[in-house]
Amino acid sequence: MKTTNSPKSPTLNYMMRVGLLPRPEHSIPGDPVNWAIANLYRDDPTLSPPSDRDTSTNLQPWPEELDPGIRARLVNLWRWDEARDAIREKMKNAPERERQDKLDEAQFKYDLRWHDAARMDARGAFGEDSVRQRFGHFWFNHFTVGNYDAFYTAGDMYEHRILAHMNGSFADLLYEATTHYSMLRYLDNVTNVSPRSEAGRIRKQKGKQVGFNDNLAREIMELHSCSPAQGYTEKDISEAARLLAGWGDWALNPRNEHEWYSAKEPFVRRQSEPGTKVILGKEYGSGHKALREFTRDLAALEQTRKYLCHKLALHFISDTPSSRVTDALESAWRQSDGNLGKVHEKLLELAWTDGDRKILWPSHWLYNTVRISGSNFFMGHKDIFNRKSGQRAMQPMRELGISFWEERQPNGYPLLSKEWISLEHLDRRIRFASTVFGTGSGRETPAQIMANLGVPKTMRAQMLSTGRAEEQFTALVVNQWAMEVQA
Amino acid sequence: MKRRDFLKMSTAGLALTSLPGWANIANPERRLVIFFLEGGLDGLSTLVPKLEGSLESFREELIPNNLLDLSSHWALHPAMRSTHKLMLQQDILGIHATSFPYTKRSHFEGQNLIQGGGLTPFSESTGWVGRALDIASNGGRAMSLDTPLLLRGATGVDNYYPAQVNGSANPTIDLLQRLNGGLSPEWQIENEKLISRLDGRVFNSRDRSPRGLSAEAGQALARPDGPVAAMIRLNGYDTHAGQGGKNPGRLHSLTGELDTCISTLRQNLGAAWDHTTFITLTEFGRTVKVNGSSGTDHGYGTAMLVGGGAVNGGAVLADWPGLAKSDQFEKRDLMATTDSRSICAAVLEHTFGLEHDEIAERVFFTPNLPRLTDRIFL
Repeated sequence: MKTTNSPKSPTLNYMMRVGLLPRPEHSIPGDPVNWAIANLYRDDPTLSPPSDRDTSTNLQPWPEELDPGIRARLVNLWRWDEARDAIREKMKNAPERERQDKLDEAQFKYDLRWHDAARMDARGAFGEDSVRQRFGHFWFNHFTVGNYDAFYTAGDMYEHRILAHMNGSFADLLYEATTHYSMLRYLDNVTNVSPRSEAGRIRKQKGKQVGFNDNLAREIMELHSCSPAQGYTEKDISEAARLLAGWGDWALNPRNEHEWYSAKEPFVRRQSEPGTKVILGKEYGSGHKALREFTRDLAALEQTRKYLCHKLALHFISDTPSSRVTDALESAWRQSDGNLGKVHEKLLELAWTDGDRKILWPSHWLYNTVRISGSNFFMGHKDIFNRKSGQRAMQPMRELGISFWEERQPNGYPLLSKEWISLEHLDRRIRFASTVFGTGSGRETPAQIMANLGVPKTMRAQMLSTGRAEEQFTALVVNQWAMEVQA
Repeated sequence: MKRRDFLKMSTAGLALTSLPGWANIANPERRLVIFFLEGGLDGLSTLVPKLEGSLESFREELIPNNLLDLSSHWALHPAMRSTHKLMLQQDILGIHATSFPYTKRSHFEGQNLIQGGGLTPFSESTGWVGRALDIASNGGRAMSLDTPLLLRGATGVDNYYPAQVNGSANPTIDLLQRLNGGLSPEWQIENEKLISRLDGRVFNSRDRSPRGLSAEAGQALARPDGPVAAMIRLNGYDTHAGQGGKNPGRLHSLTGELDTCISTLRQNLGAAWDHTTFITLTEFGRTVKVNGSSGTDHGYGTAMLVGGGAVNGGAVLADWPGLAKSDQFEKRDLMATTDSRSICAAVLEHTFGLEHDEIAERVFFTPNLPRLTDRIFL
């Protein structure tokens, strides 16, 4: 670990690389690598002040009713559809603004995405499980679900698929992410219906369009597992689309009692493709078990291991990871038979000795900025029910260009440092530094922050020599030591 | 329509003229705008080969009603009224059955290749517009929060995307100067650009829609000291489901948005339209046949628009490959018969006054790239 002329200790630099900086009330670990490994497996509830007007020490658990499970979310979604139609009908002659107000009100009641976004930010600002969060963000980005329809349930996917499975086998994580409603919806698999299936034949008889949709089939290989390096063919993709047909659902109305509301898996047999499929030279049968087998096979491929180890190293270790690093990760993968917890542990060891310079994602920079300031910048769960402020819940990450609840392409946000350098990105950092300084109670002065972080006295004096407190704070966080992890 | 017929059909029968040698004279007022259509534009429903018999059999429900006729062979999507008008005024040229040399149908490889302009995806760390700007010592502007690969490679590239941060003010020059010492070198370069931006005009617009950015780009490019090139991203072209055709669907909104961007750009450029060229870029076209969800999957050949006062427009340039199953690429996609890089090279030659051979070699690393400049510009 070499950090010369740095106001930042090697431990703080490491915390920034694999986790987040401490709040004033948090302790700085004495044994960083073991701290990080233990932190990876923490299972903390989300704690946050209920409102951004509360003091930052009034931490309370995020209400359980805001994480009601996938079924309840889908029922909500249907109720919102119904409410929307009713409002439009009832208020068709009302002024546009009044109607929109009612529509917004109904949407806030049924759509939990604002809560989900605020919850992620609350964790970022207050959570002591920062290593776990960083890996959660990595995998949620790997399995991007980036459009309007997917956002209703994306928070459920993050809590119950990503965080719950990211330290288990990659085969399981791949299966869990692929079969979550948000993914099936985002990559159009809900419309992937076999023309030979019972439902397909009926649709055809009615003169309706029916057939395969290969969007998820392509991305599960290209982006989620083996990458194009595997050398699969278009035939493999179309066969995978046949295997995936029936996963998801056309209709969103839970009153229809579609079979998947009672089934364990969102698999609709009457939309699925009968017969054998051959993908990458292997035969798969029909029925829902074929996907489990297929994801297990994808997870076991050498190219999957190589691609994912490289990707992890890119995000946490270096823009140009050495073969020493990727070999060590691959070896951990092989020895554990694809257990991501073991791969993450190895990465946390390597990050202490082999880390290069990396520019942090703007979201992690903002969490760090809020944390070291000791302030309470993001909304609490109570604020969201107030529609006017609720709509602002997603603003910070949207402005920084890294919201998980913004439309984006399936390859997710970039991992390379250079992708995040621009004049506008710099402008946003400065603006947020100033708004973090201007908000919240319990905020620390720049001098206190530096003392908390153990910045050497001479450097402290130098940084505090000119300017008002707000400028000093901005200079402290819009700075290479705060925006980047050093080698 | 006959296969392998080189179609160059002027809608008004204007004689084709060219002024050889023009491109070699430095014309500092010339400008370039790139509309980057993310997701893969369905060329066949945007610029429709209406006489193509097999179109109905493969995708009847995707053929829009009320097509806007361009000629006996071609029609434009009905949401593109302004574009249609400009095409009839011979200010916009359509190019069909075109693509970058990339056939693997991955968005991310494809987008990287068409921005990088290299020989394989992920081979380049700079973009083809950036390299050309660098050779010509010019500056460009990305109308986005980030600086996309396409524009990287030249020092004079900045970006513009108005902030909407509650309670924040534009940073002061004093503050930026104070921050400079604490930044690493790459950020210092951005900081200096931010200082010079604040030194000049302060932006008041908060509109970040593609339309708003097109207006801002038009105004910026029209200024004598403005950037020479600008890129505007439009997303959502990955129309796997509900693309629309007989009934308006996603492509209707998308082409409508592009149409608004083009007319807004033209309006805001004012007289500068005469020396500005815009092009559309997209990573690939889409399957000829409709898929099971009233959409189309990733394909190969697509359509492109090139417009501006100096463009020899009002026509569709295509070495038309035909749409019969046997004429399709891998029996599923529109074949690409025109290398899009030739169109891009022509636009660079015209805008920056660079020699075609130099562009072919130093920007696209393809010395034998065919030259199409005289077919595109007056």
